[in-house]
Amino acid sequence: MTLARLERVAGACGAALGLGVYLVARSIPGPPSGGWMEDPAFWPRILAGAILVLSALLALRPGGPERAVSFGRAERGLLLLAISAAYVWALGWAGYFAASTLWVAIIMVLAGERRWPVIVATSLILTVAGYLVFWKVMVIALPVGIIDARLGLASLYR
Amino acid sequence: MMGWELVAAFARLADPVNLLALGLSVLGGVLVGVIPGLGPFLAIVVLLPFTFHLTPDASLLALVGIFIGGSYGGAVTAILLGIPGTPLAAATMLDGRPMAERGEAGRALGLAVTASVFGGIVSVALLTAFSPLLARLALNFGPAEYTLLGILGLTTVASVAPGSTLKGLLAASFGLLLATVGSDSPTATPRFTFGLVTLNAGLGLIPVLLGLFSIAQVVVMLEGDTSRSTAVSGVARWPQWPAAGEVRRLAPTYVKSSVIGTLIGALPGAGGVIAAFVSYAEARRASRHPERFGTGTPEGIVASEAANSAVTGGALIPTLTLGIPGDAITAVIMGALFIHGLTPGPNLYRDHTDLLATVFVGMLLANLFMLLIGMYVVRAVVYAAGVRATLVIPGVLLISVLAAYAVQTSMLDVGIMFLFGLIGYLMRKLGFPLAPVVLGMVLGELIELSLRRALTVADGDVLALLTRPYALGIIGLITILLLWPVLGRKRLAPATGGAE
Repeated sequence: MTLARLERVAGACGAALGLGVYLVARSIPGPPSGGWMEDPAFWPRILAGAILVLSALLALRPGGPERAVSFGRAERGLLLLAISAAYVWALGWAGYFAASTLWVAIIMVLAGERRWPVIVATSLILTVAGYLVFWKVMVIALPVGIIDARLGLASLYR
Repeated sequence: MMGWELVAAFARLADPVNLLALGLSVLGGVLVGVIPGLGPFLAIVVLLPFTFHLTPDASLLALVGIFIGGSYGGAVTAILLGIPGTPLAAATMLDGRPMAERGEAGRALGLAVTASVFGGIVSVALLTAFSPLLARLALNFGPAEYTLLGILGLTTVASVAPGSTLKGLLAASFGLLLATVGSDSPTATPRFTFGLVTLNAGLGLIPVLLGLFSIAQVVVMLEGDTSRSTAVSGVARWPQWPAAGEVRRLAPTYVKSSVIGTLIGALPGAGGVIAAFVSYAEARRASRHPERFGTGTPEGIVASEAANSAVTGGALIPTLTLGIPGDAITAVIMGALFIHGLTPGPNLYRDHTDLLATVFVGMLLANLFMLLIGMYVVRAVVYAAGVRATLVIPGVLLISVLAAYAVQTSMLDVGIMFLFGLIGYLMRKLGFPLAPVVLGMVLGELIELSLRRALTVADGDVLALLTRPYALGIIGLITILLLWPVLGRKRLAPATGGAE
């Protein structure tokens, strides 16, 4: 697909966003007193208008770049985002160690790594390094889940 | 103006935490500059959550350390491998690589690091000398001027960003919109929170930045060939100190390029890449042998490296004095100031001179660290360029997830990061610049509140805002910037027969 065509699609999406923002901004309650400039919806409405106008200009401008946009192996990137969404969900109930080790290993395979010793070692090292820096040094409470507990790793979170 | 504070800053820098933050960040900056695909901006974004746990001194030193180290790191691979680790080093490669190919890689590395350090030091000197004066001038600015300065910053970045001005303005508007999510601070009214209490505090800058830059970059890397690694064996060379005679001969280029870099850095939106190429073009124009440029001439390396490093000090001038960041990196540094409860602008110069003096002296020290790293450690650092993407990708991803989570220990922030990763990827594919989004997000609250305050003071009279002399000047600049693409095209049309 050419960039010009994609820009028209982006312009249409931007115009829809501007319209949506304007409509949602209408539901923001106004100030109990004071002038229109104290209305919390005043600035979002201006932005909605700006986005609507600029997007319309983008969608309707004649010509535009005719070079083709290649999405290459975009499916790998989209798969990464899908797997990561599952990881975010799993992190809460499985626990940091179980979810992160598996996720890092899957990401490495997705990136093209095929040497299993490297995959296992890297996923373990990265997960443990993340634990040490964030839990031990920065004292950030990482999610403790049932799988981590079953693996006997719960003591690491103390 | 800050004489004693500068002296006292040396004592504060003797604090082991400050010194360690500075030294490690310069080394880290060089390292991420060396690894193709990463870069100082990504490193600064990832480092930002860690700075919560540091003092304002240490956190700012760490961020400027990466900024300074990263501005040089890309030159190493540009010279040794012909791959600019960062776009900043693209101009350096024009002469650095040919010089290395004829067996003078050590000389090229030595010239690059000394020019970087010289450029960095000159820019810090100019920052220290002139920024307090600009801050004093900014004391005359009221809410109207701040609104317009914010818009000027956004307009500049949007108009010079890659792509088109239209896309830049759309990206900036999107950033401003993101800044409206959460409670409206004067009235505490929730906006665009969709009932999610977590969003009352607004969209976190860090998850959004990590998504737009870190996650989107990983997705782009995944599109390419991730299985191959760059061959670095046998390329490492010890850098050589430039000979005294060569330094004397190149002295005008060192000085001129450093000043060009600082001035271009101070212009919002211009940045190191433009500075390096402008300085390179000027060195070529002024040279008695312009035909030697591109064949491995030392002037080319010095011009590019001195200028792109001098941008570090220049870019901080509008950020610290006016609160208007010139690019995405300084926008993040400004975000770090906000995180520590500090507001950039003239009041920062009045109330926190000690902090600013520490940062300025720290930048000087960071350049000296870079000289040591560049001359004696870089031989080991260059091997980082050979790390496979299959190892870099999971590392960057895991750090990003943990960094986003660490802000509020919230999984929602991690989800937001991945959502913005998708948005950032699509924006990159469609040629939308990302820097205006960051600037819009950082400047959003300042612009909105200043505008509302200015309008309240003027009793809603918009025209009253436009009659102030400083405001009129800023409006003039904004108008020129917006009309520039149209005027430029008209000027270009006769020369190209309208076929540009």
